[in-house]
Amino acid sequence: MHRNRLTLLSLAVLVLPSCTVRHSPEHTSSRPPSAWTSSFRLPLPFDAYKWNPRETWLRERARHLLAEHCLQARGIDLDLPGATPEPPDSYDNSRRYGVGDIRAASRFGYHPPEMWSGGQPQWAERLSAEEEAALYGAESDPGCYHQADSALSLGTPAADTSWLATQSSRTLLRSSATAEVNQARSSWSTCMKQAGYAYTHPDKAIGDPQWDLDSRTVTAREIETARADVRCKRSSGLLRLWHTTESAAQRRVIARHRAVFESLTANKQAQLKNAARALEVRR
Amino acid sequence: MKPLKKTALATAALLAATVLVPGFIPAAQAEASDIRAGSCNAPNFCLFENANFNQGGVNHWRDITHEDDDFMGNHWRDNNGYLTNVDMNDETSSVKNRTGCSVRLYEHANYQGDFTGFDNGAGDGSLSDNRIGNDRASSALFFNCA
Repeated sequence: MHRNRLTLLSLAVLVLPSCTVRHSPEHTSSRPPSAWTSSFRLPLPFDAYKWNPRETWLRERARHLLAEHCLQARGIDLDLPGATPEPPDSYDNSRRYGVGDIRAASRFGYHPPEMWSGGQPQWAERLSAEEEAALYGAESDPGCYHQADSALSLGTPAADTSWLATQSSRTLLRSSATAEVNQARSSWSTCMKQAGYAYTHPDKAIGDPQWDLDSRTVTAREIETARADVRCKRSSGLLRLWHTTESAAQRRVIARHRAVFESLTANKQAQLKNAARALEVRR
Repeated sequence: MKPLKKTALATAALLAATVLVPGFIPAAQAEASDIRAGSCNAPNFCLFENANFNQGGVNHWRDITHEDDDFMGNHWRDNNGYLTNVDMNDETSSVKNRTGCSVRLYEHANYQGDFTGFDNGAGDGSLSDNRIGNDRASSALFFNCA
């Protein structure tokens, strides 16, 4: 076998310390957050037309299987990344309005919990030039991932995903600018001030240069601030009002453009069907 | 104070070296020439300023290998690998993922707002047709790394 699984496992163990939360000395908790799951999703009407984590996971499994068979046909035996646990079957809007999940804030502060899933990108660094070319393609050859993607989109009906992207961005921006949401944001600021934090806007709190969201270091102060942020988003009604306002806006868009949304559903279902077929046939 | 972005630090070091040592030519830049539009090597997440991986457009690109919570202040590189003065925030039009990780591009800094995920090996020549949209990406999150 080209790649030794034991060697990979040993390397994974070696990189584990960098995958744990490093709290500042004054913080008492040091539990590694490796098995983090959250049911906090903030569902929105557009979610059904987007790819949720489980759907993406299914498509990715099929894609890897197809790519691995393609590589084997080229005489290359390579374990592809991507064997992750099955994720939730619901779309994740938990950071759409900034931090909103008190459990996540209590553990990760302003950091996204996903930062602690998996290791470091060392697999890609170990690819040989031949493997890289076969997998990703070269000048005259599109490569195995491209071949897998083509197979998975075979016969799928057209859908205007660009339009959905624009609508999703618009409903977020417009709902953010309504009088009710602005009023709630002002109440959030008052609440934060009473809690000892002088932020005029939630973006100022999460964007405070005290936190380094590029690193995996979470300080106790960041956690305390993020927790206060979430509590104030709830007590001020900011989270509920913004979410309710955007939900209503998305429902109106869906009602006005039913045919477009039906085509988006048909496109996704066809791709998922292709993925399921690939997983069945290639097993 | 928040640590300066790695890009900003690298730029500052480069500028300092250029100013302090007459005739100094940074090795990476001296060796880099004519970087082909659309090129992307493992283990990079490659961002392009224009659609179709810059082919047929100005070759402004940037490779990253880890999270970036705010693209603001990061500049594109040009055809020779030199840093330009063009900020890459809200300016990405196409991407390639060769990291071995899944990468999410978020609409806003600090991993907020709408996002689109790119699995390993994914290439998208036109971000306009997914949730992040064209010229809207402001932060990148790496996860599920192999």
